[in-house]
Amino acid sequence: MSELRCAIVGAGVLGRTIALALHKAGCTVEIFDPRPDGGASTASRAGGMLAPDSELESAEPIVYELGIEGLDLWRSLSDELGEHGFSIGWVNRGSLIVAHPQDRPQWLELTEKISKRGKNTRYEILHPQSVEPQLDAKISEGLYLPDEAHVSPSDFMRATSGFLLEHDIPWHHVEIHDINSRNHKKTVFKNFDWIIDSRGIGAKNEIKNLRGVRGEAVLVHAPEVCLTRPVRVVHPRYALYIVPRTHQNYYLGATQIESDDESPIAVRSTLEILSAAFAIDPKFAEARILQSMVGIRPAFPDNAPFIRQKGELLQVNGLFRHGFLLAPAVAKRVVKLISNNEKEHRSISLLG
Amino acid sequence: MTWNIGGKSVQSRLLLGTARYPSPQIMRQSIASSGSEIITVSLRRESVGQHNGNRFWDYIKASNAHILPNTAGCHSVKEVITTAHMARDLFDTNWIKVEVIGHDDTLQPDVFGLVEATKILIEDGFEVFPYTTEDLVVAQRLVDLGCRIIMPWGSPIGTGKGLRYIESLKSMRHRLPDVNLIVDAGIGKPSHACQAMELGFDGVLLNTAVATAVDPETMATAFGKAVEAGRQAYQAGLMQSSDRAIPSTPLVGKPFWHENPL
Repeated sequence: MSELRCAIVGAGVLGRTIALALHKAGCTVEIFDPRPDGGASTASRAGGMLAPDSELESAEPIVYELGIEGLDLWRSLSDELGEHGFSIGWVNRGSLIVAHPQDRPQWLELTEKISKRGKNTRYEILHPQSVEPQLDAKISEGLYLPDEAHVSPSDFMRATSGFLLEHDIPWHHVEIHDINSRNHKKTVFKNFDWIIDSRGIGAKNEIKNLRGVRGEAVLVHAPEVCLTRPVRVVHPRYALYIVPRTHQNYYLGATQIESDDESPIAVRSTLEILSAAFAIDPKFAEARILQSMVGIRPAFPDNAPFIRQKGELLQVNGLFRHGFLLAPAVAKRVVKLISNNEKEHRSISLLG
Repeated sequence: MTWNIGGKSVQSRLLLGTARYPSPQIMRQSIASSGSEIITVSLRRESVGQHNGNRFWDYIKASNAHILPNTAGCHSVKEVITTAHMARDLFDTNWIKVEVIGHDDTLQPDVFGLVEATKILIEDGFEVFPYTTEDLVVAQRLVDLGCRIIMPWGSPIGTGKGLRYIESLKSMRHRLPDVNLIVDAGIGKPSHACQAMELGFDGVLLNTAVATAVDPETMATAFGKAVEAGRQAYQAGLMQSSDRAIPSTPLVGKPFWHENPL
């Protein structure tokens, strides 16, 4: 594959994992993205959850399949980047799902869905304090999913930027619109065999049926809190996680609103997110709010990822809430497509 | 057997909500398999930055069902009025399901706010679908204001407890024979929906029971059938219940070996 030249347009989590995978396969890779550090990208605002079992609640079966595959791929990715001295904050201590006593029916429903739909899912219903002693005593039941993991998106963005720079992968700080235009093919993409469109919501105007789903999250510094694994708090509308980060910081989020509005976090959402954290561990009361974040997730009507090939252009999109979970398995399929090097017009199945 | 509701004719008497489905696609498949022709849309929850077009709403519009926008999440009359006007522009309909939250924990409707908002909206030319309690006086007041539809709760929103106020609901049906009565909220099982229809209610509105089912599409089918069964049963005329057994075969002429021993 060493002779193949690939342009990757959009360097969120998907674009970067594709870049790493293609680079590893021996392709020549160049990146097109106006943001050098992924500063304003949806990926940098993500929770970084690798939680395929929890996603059994509502995701399509394909999300579960790719996610399970992704868990292993993330482990290798973490090792490979680690060899070059870059950490992505990969932690594999499982996750815990709890509910406020009032939301117990929803917790039972969620537990039933996960245990019914997951063929090989390992789970345990336990006293949550037996794994996270600091949780409030009134939270008396928890669903523990020992195989789940998480990464730190900001570490991942930093690590991949560093790795790509170290390996002399060119980064063009330009925003590309109308990716499939004849003009681009004659100019910017003239010397490329393949163009990979991994712009996420940035491709909204060029991909039919792609919509934005707003997510809001808060980063707090909580030295009194001591949670060692992500805790999901049952909420009627969102999957709200408390994800431990380094330096006693915690990521709290995220909401899920059918809108592609990028304006700052809403008061209502802030209240919901913070009170969820406070309810399960009152020590969050004295935490300091470091940052609030808003990201727009790209999604198709079935909320599942999709690859469309138009000759040398691969449109890879719709990873929705599962950007980190799905990116490596989707990237693997992109590499396979490129290695076959067939320039066709088709939709690509992500199964298998 | 068409049903005239708010100036439109439909076949199905099931109204379905559009929140909390696993994906828009499953939502649309569920609507289709339920047979529902009227779907409710919450404006307030999903309204952030809708100015430059919202693909989720475009997708809902493409389901071809009549859209009943609602004011879920509004706590004041003023919010309700603003939301209703926004909905009229956005969905090109004068229908509005008016919901004024009176209490955050129970999500009980604020009936005083409801009456006030309904009066203003009817004067503005809206067809108001008021979400109310089982209280007959409130229902009568809403009818006096010009409502042709009343939507009493079965039990509080999201509880899935079915028809908790059944005697009051029966009495409302009896006292308001010419109004379209729709049980809204609290429906957890198809049997609840069927029961409401057997009581002579004109329709049933629900959301969570379908959206959060393990298999929403199949649950939607079940609800569609339950609503139809209840309606047919009501039209066919239900038997009266009795406290003592009444044999369905006459005793006269029964072979002696089936008689009870003396």
